[in-house]
Amino acid sequence: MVRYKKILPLILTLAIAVILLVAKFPIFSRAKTPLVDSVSLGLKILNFPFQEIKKLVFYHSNYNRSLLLKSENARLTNQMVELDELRQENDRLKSLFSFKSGSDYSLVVAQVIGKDSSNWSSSVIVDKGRNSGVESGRCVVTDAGLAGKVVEVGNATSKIMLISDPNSSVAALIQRSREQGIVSGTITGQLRLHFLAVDSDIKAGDTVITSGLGGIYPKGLVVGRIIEIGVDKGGLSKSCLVVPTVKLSKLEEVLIMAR
Amino acid sequence: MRRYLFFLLTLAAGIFLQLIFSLQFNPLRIQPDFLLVVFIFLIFYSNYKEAAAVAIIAGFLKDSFSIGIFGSHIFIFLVCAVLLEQYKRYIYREDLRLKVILVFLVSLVSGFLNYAFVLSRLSVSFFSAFFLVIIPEAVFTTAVSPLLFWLMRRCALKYSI
Repeated sequence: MVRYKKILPLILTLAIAVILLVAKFPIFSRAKTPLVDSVSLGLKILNFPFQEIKKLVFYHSNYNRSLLLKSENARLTNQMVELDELRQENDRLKSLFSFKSGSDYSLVVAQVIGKDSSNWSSSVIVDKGRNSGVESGRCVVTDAGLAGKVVEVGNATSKIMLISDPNSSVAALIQRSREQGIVSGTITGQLRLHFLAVDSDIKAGDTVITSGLGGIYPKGLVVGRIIEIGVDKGGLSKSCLVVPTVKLSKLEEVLIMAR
Repeated sequence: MRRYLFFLLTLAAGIFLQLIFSLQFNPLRIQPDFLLVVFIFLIFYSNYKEAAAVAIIAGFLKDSFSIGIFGSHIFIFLVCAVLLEQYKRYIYREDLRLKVILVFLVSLVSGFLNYAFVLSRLSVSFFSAFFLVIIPEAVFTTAVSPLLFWLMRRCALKYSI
C-alpha cells in the first residue's frame, strides 16, 4: 500500500496528461513555437562547425561539381533566353484570354537547422518564420522539386512537414499519361501514389508532378519518379512506389513559396 | 538547486543532440532516442515527484520539436516513468549492463506507444512499424546508451548530484 501511495503523484500526473491529451487545449500547443524560436540560435551555432567541416571534407568533389555546374549554367542561360521569348508570347496570349498568371510567387530562402525529434514523422525546422513572411500551409520546394509544406510558424522558425511524412497527402498526376492520384508518405520515408484506376497507363520511370488540386501545391512541381507498380488490396485501384526527386534526408536549404 | 540545473541542462543537451544528429548524420533515417537515454539516467537519480517532472519536461521538449500529436510524448514519458519507478529498485544503478537492457526494453515500450498514437490517425501495418521503426530505433538507442551513461555519470559525479 505504501508503495502505491508513493507512486500516486506519478499516476496523477499521468491521468492529467491523458486529460490534456484528449482535451487538446490549444494553449499548450501554442507554447511550443516560442520554445523552438528561442533555441534556433543555439541550433544554428551547433550546426555551424559541422557545416564548416563538411565544406572542407567535400572540397574536391564540390570543386568538380562547380565546374560541371558552370557548363550547365551556360547551357541553361541559352535555354532561358529561348524560354523567355516563349513566356512572353505565352503571357501575351494569356492576357488575350484574361488568364491569371499562376507563377506569382515570391520565394523565401530558408536554412534547415533541425530535424524531427521523433522517428514517426518527417519534418524539418527552418530558420525563417513569420518575421520573414512565412505562413502556415505554404508550399516548400528545392531546386529538385517539391519538399513539403509549412505546418507550424513561429516568429523566427517554421516547421515543415515533408512529403514523406505519413500525414502528408499531395494531389498528383503522372506527367506522361495525365493519370491522377494522391501521393502520400509512409513511416518508412517512401512515397506512395494511390487511387489510380486499375486500367491506368503507368510505367516505371514515369515522372509524378503535382496536379494543383486542393490549392496548397501549385500545379507542375516535380514530386518523384515511379519505381514500382502494384495493385491495392481488393484489386480496385493501382498504387505505385515513388522515389522523391528531392533528397529529403539531405535537405540543407529550402525555398518557401509565398504569394 | 544545482541538482535541478543539472537535470535541466542534461535534458536540453539530449534534445539538442537529437535535433542535430539526424541533420548531420543523414544516412541514418532512424535516429537513436537520445532524450530517452537521458530520461532513463535521470530517473535513477530522482524520486517519484522529480520523475514526473523529468517526464513532463522531456515529453514537452520532444513534442515541441516534432509535428506529431502534442502531448503524446509527455504521455509516453510519463508511462515510462511509472514503469521505471516501479522496477528501478531491482536494478543496481551502477550496473551498466542492466541499464542498457533496460534502455532496450523502455525503447520498445516507447515504440509501441508511439505506434498506438500513429495508428489513431493512420492505418499502418504493425509489421512494417515493428521491423522498420520500433526495432531499429531500440537497437540504435541501446547502442548509444553506454557512452551517454558514461558521460552523464562522469558529469553527475563531478558536480556531486
